[in-house]
Order: sequence, then C-alpha cells, then structure tokens
Amino acid sequence: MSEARVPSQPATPPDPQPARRRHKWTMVVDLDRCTGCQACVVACQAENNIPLNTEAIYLQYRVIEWIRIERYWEKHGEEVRARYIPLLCQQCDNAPCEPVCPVYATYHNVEGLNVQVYNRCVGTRYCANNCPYHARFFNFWQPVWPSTLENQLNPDVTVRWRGIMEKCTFCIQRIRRAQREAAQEGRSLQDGDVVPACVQACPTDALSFGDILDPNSRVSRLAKDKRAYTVLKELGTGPNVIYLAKVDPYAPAPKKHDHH
Amino acid sequence: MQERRDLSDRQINRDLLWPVLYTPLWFWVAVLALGLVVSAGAGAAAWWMNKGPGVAGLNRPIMWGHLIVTFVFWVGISHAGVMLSAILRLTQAEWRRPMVRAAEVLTVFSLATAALFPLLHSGRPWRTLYWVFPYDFSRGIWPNVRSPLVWDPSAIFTYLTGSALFVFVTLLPDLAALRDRTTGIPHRIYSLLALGWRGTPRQWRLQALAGILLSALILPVFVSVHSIVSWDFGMAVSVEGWHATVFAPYFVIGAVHSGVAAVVTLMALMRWLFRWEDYIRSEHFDAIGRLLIVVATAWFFFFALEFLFGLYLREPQEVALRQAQVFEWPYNLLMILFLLTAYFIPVPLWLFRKVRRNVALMFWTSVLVNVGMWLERFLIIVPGLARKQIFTFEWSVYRPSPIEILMVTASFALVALGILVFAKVFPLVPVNEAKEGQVLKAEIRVGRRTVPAIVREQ
Amino acid sequence: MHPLPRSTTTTRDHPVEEYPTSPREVAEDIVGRAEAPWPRWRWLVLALGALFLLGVVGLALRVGQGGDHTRWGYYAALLGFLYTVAGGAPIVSVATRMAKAHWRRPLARIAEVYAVVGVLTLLLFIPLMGVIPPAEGRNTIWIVGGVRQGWPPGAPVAYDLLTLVMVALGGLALLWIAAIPDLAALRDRGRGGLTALLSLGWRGTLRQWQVHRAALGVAGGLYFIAYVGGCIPFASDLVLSFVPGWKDSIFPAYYALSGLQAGLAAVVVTAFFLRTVGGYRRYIHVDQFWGAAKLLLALSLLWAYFHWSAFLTFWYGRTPTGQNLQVLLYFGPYRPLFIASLFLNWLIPLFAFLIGPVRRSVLGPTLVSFSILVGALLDRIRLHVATWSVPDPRGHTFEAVPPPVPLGVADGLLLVGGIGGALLLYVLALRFFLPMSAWEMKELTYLRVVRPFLKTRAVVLGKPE
Repeated sequence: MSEARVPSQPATPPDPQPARRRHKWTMVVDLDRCTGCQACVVACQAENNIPLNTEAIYLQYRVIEWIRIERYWEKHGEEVRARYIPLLCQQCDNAPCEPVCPVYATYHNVEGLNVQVYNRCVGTRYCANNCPYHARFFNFWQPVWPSTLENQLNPDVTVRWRGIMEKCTFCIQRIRRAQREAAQEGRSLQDGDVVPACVQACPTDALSFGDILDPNSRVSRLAKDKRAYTVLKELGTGPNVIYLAKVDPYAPAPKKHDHH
Repeated sequence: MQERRDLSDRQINRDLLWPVLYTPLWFWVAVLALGLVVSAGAGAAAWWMNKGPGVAGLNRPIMWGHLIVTFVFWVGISHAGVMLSAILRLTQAEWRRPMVRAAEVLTVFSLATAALFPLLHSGRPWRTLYWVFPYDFSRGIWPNVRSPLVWDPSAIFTYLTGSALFVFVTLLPDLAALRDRTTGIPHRIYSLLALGWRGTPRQWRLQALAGILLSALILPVFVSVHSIVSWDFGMAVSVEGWHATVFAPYFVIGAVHSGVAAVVTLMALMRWLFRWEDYIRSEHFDAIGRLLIVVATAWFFFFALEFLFGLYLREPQEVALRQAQVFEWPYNLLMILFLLTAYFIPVPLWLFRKVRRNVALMFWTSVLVNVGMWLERFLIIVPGLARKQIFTFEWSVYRPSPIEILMVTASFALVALGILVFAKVFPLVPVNEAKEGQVLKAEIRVGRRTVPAIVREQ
Repeated sequence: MHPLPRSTTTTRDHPVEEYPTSPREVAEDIVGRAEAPWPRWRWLVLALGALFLLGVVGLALRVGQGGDHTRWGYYAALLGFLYTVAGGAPIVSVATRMAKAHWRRPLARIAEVYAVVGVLTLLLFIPLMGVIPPAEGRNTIWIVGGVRQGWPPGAPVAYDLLTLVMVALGGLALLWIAAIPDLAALRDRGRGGLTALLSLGWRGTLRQWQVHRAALGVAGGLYFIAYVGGCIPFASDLVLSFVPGWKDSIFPAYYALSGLQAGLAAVVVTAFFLRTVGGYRRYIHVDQFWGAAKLLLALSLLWAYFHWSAFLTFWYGRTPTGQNLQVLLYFGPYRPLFIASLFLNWLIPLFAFLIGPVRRSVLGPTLVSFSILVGALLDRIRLHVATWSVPDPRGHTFEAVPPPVPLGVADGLLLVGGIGGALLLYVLALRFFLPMSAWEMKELTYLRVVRPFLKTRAVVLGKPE
C-alpha cells in the first residue's frame, strides 16, 4: 500500500446481479485529499449510536469504529512519514462474511449493500473472523451512555445490545430517508441526495458517495480515474469502496509486475 | 493373547462387575472434587452470561479463543471411540477387548461437553440454541446451511446419536448380567434397559451383527465430524493459516492421535483404580503404543504439509504468521512445547518395547500428547487471528481471562465426572468381550515352541 | 507332482480351496516351479518389448516436435502414473506386514517386485530435466524463508531426481531384503550367478532370521517415508508449481493416496493373472481378494474424501485464482476426464464393494481394480496435462484458463510404451525373484492350523510377537 499503483484493469468490481439492481451504492476515498483528521470517525460515531470508546476499551483492543483511520509510520532514510487510509466496510459483492453466518444475520441486498440484521445476530463472530478488512465490530460489553449523552442518540438508528455484531451500513438510514423524500416529492433520486455522515463531515471532500449505476454521478466519474484501485483485490471480494491512490512525489515508479 | 490368565466366567463376572455393585470411598471423594470443579465452571459460565463476552480475553480481531480451542480439542478426543471400537472391531484385532467400552463412553461424554462450548461462547446463547436448530419460524428463515457453523451441530449430533447407540447395543449383555444381580429399583431399571436379553444364540448373532453394522456406519460419520469442525476454519478465506485444503484430514488424524492417547490415559486409570490387572495388561499398552506410533507419524506428516504449504505462496501476511508462530512470544514457547509433547518426546519413547509395556510411562506420555494437542489447536486458531491480513495496525494480543481458564478446566472435570458416574452404573470393561477372549484363545506348537494364537472369528 | 495331503479349511459358509500344509510342499511347489518354463513366456516378453519400442519411437517424435513444457503434459502424466502406482504397490506389502495380517502373504512378493519399475521411472525423468522450467519466479516449495535467487541450487529438477533415486533404491533394497531367503533357496537348487551373489551367503540360522526381520522392518519403514515424503516434492514440482497461485496443501497427500489405491489395484490384477493363467491357484484364494477389497473400499473412500476436501475449500473461498483452478481441473476442458475418474476411482468401487458377495469373490475385486487403474491413468493425465498446459507458470495469480491439449500420436505411443516397458521390467523381475514369497508361505503353514472348535472346525491363527 505504499506507492501509487497503476491498476491493470478497471476498478469497477464485477457485479453478480446486474438486472435486479435499482442502485449500487459506492464510496470513493481520495487518499491524496485525506489528512487523517478523523472527522469522519467522530461523525460516524455520532450518527450511528456507536458506543463510547473509553481508554479501558482501547487497551482491551475492543474499539468500535465503523470507519477508522489506519496510520502507518514509514521510515525513509532520516525521515519518518505517516501514511493514512480510512477503512470501512467495503460492502463486498462477494463478501466472505455472508456465507458463514449460521443465522442469516448478514446478507446482500439489491442495492449492493451488505446488510447486518441486528435482531437476528446471535454473536458467533465467524463473520468478523472472515472479514479481511477488519471491518466488523462486536459488542463485547453492554453499551452504556451517561445520562447527559442520551439525548444525542440518533432515533433513526437502533441501539445495539451486547453480543451483537455491527459495522458500517453506508448510513442506510440516510439512504432510506433520501429515497422517502424523493418519493414524497414525486421525483427520482439525484446524485448528492444521499450523504453519509462521514462524507458530510470530511473537510477536504476526500470522501464521495453515490450510485455507480448512474453514469452521471460523481463516483462514476471518479471510479474511472487512473489512480483508482481496490484493497485486497486478489481475494476477489469485489469491494464497493474505491480508493484513489495518493500522489506521492517520493514514491518510486510503479513496477511492471506488481506482486502484491 | 499370551499373557492372559485362565479365568473362570464366575471370576470374570466378579472382577468386572464389582464397581457397579459396591462403592469404594475414593469414588465419593472423586465425585465431590470433580463436582466442585464443574460447579465452579458453571459459575464462570453464569458470570459470562450475566456480564457479557467482555469477561473473556477476546478482542478484535481475536474473536475466537480458549473456548473454541477446547471445543475442537474435545471433538478431537471423541474420535477415540470410533478408532478403537469400530475400526479394531472390523479388523478383528484381539487386543481391543478391554478398551472398547471405555473408548465409546469417552466419546459420548467428550462430544457432549464439546457441544456446550459454541453455545456458551456466542454473544447471545439463549438465542443461539433457538436458531441453530432447523426449525422454521414465522419469518420463514431457516438456518444458513452454507455456514460451517450449521454443519457442526448436524455432524456432532449425528455422531453423538450413533455413539450412544453403539454404547447401548454393546451394553445389552452386561445390562442383563446386572439385572440378574440386583434387586429393587436398580433391578427394575436394568430390566427395562436390558430389553429382555436372555443370551440365546439368535440374540447373540443379532447383537454381533448390530455391532458390525454400527461400526461400519459410524466410520463415515467419524471422518465427517472432525472434517466439518476443521472447516469452521478451512472455509475462512481471510485468516492466514486457515484457508488450507489439508485441514480436514489433518484435523481428523490429529483427533485420532489425541483420542487414542486419551484412551491410554483412561486405560491406565481403570487398571489402577479398579484393580483390573488381569484384564488390562501390559500387552494391551504395547499394542496400542504401536498404533500410536503410526498415527502420530501420520499426523506429523499432515502437520508438515500444513506448515510447509502455508508458506508456499510467500504471501507477506502468511510469512508474518509463521514468523509469529516460530519466533514471537508467547507463540514460540508454545510451539516448542507443542512439538515436544505431541511428538518428539512420546514417539521416540514408544519405539522401545520396555516403555510401551510400562503402564506408568504410557500414562504420562499419553497425558503429554494431549497437552500438546491442545496447544496445537491453540496455535492454529489464535496466531492466525492475531496476525490477520496485512493490516498490521489491527494486529493484537490475546490475554486469556480467568473465566475462560476456569471453563476450560471445568470441561475436563465434566468429562471425568461423566465417565466416573457411568462406571458406577455400567461396567466399563465389557464382560462378554472378556469371556469371548478367554474362549477364543489358543496355542500352536511349532517345533519345540508354543506360539500364542487365536481362533479366527467368523 | 505328488498328490498333496488334503486340508479342508471350511469356515462357516463359503468353501475355500486348499492351502499347502507343510513347508516342504511349499518349497517343492514354488521354488521347484521356478525352473519350469512358463508357457507363453516368450510371447509375453516379446509383446511387451514391442510396446516399449513403440514408446521409444513416441519419445523420439515428441523430442523432435520441440516446443516448451506445454507439449510434455502426457509424458509427465505417464511418469506420475508409473511413480505412484509402481511406487505405491510395495507399500501394500509393508503396511500389511506391519498389521500382521496373514492374508497378505501370497501377495507380498507380487507387491514388492513393483519396486523395480522405480528404475524405469528414474530413467524416464531424465528427458524432463531439460523441459521443466527453473524455480525462479514460480511458486515452489524450494525457496523457503526469504527470496534468494538461485537457492537451493538446481531446484527443482535436481531434488526431484534425488527423490526418484531414493525411492528406486529404497524399493530395490526392500525387494532384495525380502527375497534373500528365496534367492538362497534358488541358489541351493543350482541357479548361480546373480542369484548366488544377491543371496549374501544366507544359511538360515536363527541369528540371520532375527537380523533379517529387523532389516525388513527398517527397510519397510524407510521405503514408506521415501515414497510418501517423496510425493511432496514430486507432486508439488510436477503439478502444483505449474499453476501460479495454486496453494494446495493436501495435494501431495492426495497424490500419494491415489497411488496407494492404484498400487493395490495393480497387485490385485497381477494376483488374478497369476492365479488363473500363472498356475498359482493353490496359493491365491478368495481370502486375498477379500482382504484387498476391504482395503480398496477404504482407500476409494479416502480418495473421494481428499478430493472433496480440496474442492470444497476452493469452491467456498470464491477467490479468482480458486475459481479459475476449478475450471481448469474440474469443470472446464478436462471435465470428461474428471467425471470418468470420479466413477472409476470412487463410485464403481464404492457401489461394487458395498455388495458382500462382490467383495468376497475373485472376479469382483479384479474388475474393480481394472477400473481403478484406468481411472488412475485418466486422473494423472487430467492433472499433468492441464497444469503443464499453462504457458507461464510464474506469478501469484492464475488468470486465464488455457485451451485443452489434445492427445497426439507421439503422446499415445509414449503412454502405451511407458506402461509396456514397466510391465516388461516387472515380468522379468517376477521371474527372477519368484512370484510367491516361499519363506512367508512356509511360515503360514506353521501358523495356520484347522482344529475342531466346540461343535465345528475353525481356523486358528498364530500371532507371534
């Protein structure tokens, strides 16, 4: 992940069910714009009723961050540089987490989302083991908020109990709200109607969200960028999050055979 | 076999049935002690239910820890029953006779104990039981048969049913013997269970046939159970060291290895506690020791395949995993302990006839083997999760909590308690097998020497 | 031949033909028979020799046609077939000896003599040494822990050659040690030259027998390790390494196991011919076929199990490389071969051997064994031709499934000639070493008696330690 890669094929993942889809929600993350400020992380936590991550929880390695900024220190001679990548649930077309859940608590819907059904989850945690992006988070403890913060909880989003698995939903509550409003107004959904919390909060516009089946959407345009790639392509998971590689003046030229 | 003393039927009955008819003091002490440990484990499980999975040392990404290791361990031990009872019965090995029932009973109890763990360690166990059974609800959503976690209960319960049937069918003549020696309520219970066994030739023929059929039928089940448990890991494409094609036979042969060693432990204990020196003799330990050498070496071959081919593609995350297993604390120490105890100490010792015939040495080496095999499962499950994929930012450390350790210990006590109570109610060495062995023994004179022989069955 | 004393061995239901009852009888019959000419012997040798020459022609054609490794798949399949079948057959003798089964005795020498084919396998590998691409850039087992160019030197072909040398030598050693008492008996009857040299001055003293027994155990164990362990470099260098990104840890075990299954099948077929046209009816009874049938059933089930274990892992993972692999090996151009070997190596043995009378007959296991041998050959063709047809074996992912490689004239001649040559070597060696292990059959006369037992007669088997 350290140098800009020229992908050998287009970044659009294969789509197993093209005819049935109304939309195919896709996020594009421009790593050149990302400053690692973590505004997206905070916004996600506020929007989705994510439990408070105290210092104790952090030391137990049980932090819940549906979107997280992974930070790697790289030493180049005398210099030490930080590289960041925001990672979230990639809503894979060929999700490894889906076939392994014994109770069908996670499945793929017609809009390309990998949906987590909280009330069905019994907490076997196989899906989290099988997710290569570490994108799934388990409620080891019962989430509690101090009484002062209870008013901050989002009424559109379930509050999860302990023993349940959760992960990024592409703010499905906002998708549904936008679809409802468009239906009430008698129009179809436009690009830019749906804005997840992280996309809304990002100060540098590094995150974009939209429908890749819409040829005029921003994400369709960005997906064709020659910096576009997907993470862990050789696993064949078919992610719906496209990354635009950072333009790194210090990186060596990409090699012909990229053995990643 | 050559060292068998000539024993009368009456003597055999007396020797093998005395634990059922009389209760020594040590029995009560053992039940009390084991019961305390089991209760402590139950208390730990209750604490877990009350507070949540946070009481365990699990975290992200190490979502499966000691409880799953122990689950796989007990499923492995349960393979003893079929290996010794079914396979040796089908190949007519004479030396199986004293150990068949103990092996089958070990299977039943270890399997039942194993089945508890996936239930206890899930996030919402009260719902897990409800949903993993194939019962259609008003929502019309069945369990996901594509998940290995649904294959697990099918396999385990099939095996449990088959093994229980096996124990019962071979128990019938002994139940009749007990029925004829007891009065009052025990007599009534034994009469009910004995199904009217009278020992007629027709009944004996049917019972032998049933034993052979069950032996043959349970063999595919035995192979499939641990294969399916191995596929809990083998189907996971994201964890290094898990997505290997060799997992199914590797786990099965590992199960046979640890199961047969567990039976050796059990045999030694039976010989000492029940004073069955005439029935569980050095030659039995000799024979089973030789089997163990073969099984252990086959297991080591599969382990070598798994390790070598793990590194085959030289993927950075796979290399990191193997480096962690071999060089990093605490896995490096556990790896050395595991290799020594599971193979490199016992097997060279077992090559010597003197060691194989020494009951105490066989007991201790078999215990070592099972320590090693528990460590083997740990080294497969936890390091792979701790080094999952290339995201080194997420790699973590597993620190098992006292609750988990207590539950693991209590599982050993539970299995021991189960077998002990069984030994109180039913004879642990089949009386009819001991008598059959007496009848079938023979000798052949070759020149000036006498060679021990058996009359061939069938 | 004198009329031999009768010994009925009726047990329960099925009538069994007579076994010899005394060591002298065995000596006269087996060792004495070695001097008598076999009918049609010369025709057999000539026919097999002609087939072998056809194979040489095929090899010349193949070399003449040039090309890279993609054209040599059938040759590699022949090599794989010979290595596993002829390498696996002696294991039958070793394993059953360890288990102390008495029914194995007539089959022991038949199985052990297959070790001589290891020499042919070794020679056949030599042309491939120039064809197999070097290890650089490919996935192999040879450069472990760090990528250093050119280490270990000569990888992979040098180590495959070493493996084949060890298997050939180990097999020959096993055969020789097992045959020493019989070679001594032949020497005492006047056969000199090589026989006298190989019998090492054997006199049959107690000490010599004890040493012999220990040596046989050690040779058997070492051969087992050589063959099964040798399947790791052999299978991975001659199949796995040709497809980039194919990580398959069970494959060497599967390769060894299918070889064991086919080796046992070869032993059964040979035993059948020795019984019917070779005149060994007195020694090879239905018991041998019955015991082999039970083993074949178990091995066939294991064969299917290993196949399924590999397939399920790739199918479930749904990685691009895994899916392309499934197309290449199972569902794509080689599907007929896969389906055929599924039937021949698994379904036919399974359904045939589930029927008791088929298991406990002479013809049943023989026909199933033919089926297994054909299936093994087709399986090897599928594996080697498919994998060798991948044009560039370097890289980490398998991206495109190549078109199928048809069977050419040269390839057909090679297959026929290779198998013919192997059989030729086998037949010659069988003549030299005696087809039946006389000393083990003599042991059986001591250890197997029929006595009255309760109200009937039963077979009593001695089990010395």
